Amino acid sequence: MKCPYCHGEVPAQSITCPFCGRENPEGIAFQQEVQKKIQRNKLLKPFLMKQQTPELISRMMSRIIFILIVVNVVAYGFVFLLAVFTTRKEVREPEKDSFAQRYISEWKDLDYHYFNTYYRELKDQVEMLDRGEMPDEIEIRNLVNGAHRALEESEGEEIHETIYLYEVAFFRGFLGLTEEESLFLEPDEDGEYGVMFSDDERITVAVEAIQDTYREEWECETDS
Amino acid sequence: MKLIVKAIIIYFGLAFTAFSILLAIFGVTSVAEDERDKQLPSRLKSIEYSASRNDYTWLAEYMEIDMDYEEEFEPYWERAIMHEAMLRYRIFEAASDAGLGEEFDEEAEKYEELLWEYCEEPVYERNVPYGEYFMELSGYQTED
Repeated sequence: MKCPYCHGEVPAQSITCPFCGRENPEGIAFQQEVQKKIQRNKLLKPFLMKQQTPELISRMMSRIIFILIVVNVVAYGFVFLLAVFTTRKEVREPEKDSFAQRYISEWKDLDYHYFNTYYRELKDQVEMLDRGEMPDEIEIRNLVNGAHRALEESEGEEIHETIYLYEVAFFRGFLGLTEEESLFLEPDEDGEYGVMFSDDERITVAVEAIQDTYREEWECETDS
Repeated sequence: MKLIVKAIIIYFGLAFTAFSILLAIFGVTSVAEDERDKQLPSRLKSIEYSASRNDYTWLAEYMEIDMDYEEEFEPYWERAIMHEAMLRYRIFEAASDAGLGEEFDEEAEKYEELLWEYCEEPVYERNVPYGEYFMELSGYQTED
């Protein structure tokens, strides 16, 4: 715009003319308008804030919820993929005629859950005796209970007979129990093994007899 | 009301997200550990430890579970067979000596043969002392 006094070029927002230094009425009017609006906004600010805040908070919360959903989806997707890829088990086979193959095919002839439990207990106790340690009553009781359970749970006559053979060999042969002391290896009058609790008399008799055997062996070894 | 609902969602959402992140971190660390345990040196170390403690109860089972069928594990498989032969021979020999029956005599004979087969001259040099020890436990002496 032009200065009404010197006709020099004056910026519209300037309150004085940069050439003659006189007041620029349009610039003054503009600045007054600006000041008015600033004042009005200052007055309106608390009211506007009060009115707009819930809306702003709500919007911010929606964004947070969205971010949380995205993070969870990514985390669970990652865990899922991890589970899928890691549960794929690598399968290896023993080589033909290797000792591993021989052990698995020839020495696991009685691979049944209850027999395995009993057999582990048996191995443990023989190893303990070889080391010159004496198994305690609970370990002996577990062995006897395990032996009875293996017979009780064995399915099929052939398997039952094999388990019976192993158990008779161990209890009557290796440990030297008499028939009376190893009654827990025999079925009851109905031909059933049934449930036998650890306080059953047959179990107690066997446990005491085994303890005596171990004690004798242990004393013999200590003496020698 | 809407804000309260959102606040509750955020509160539980944050807790749930923290749980998810922990789950993901735990998953990664456990997978890394599993991968490390599956490596041959790690498996071998674990079996060597069991064998060094003469823990034959679990030795073969651990090897079978981990599918330790590589060449490096063969001496331990041989030793597991030697131990099994010794154990079964001792059990059935005792039963045979106690005169429990012919079937026990046959089993004792079978395991005696296997005991000699595996323990007298083990394939792996490091199993020779174990062969001698197992023979000794069975009541035999191997030739030097």
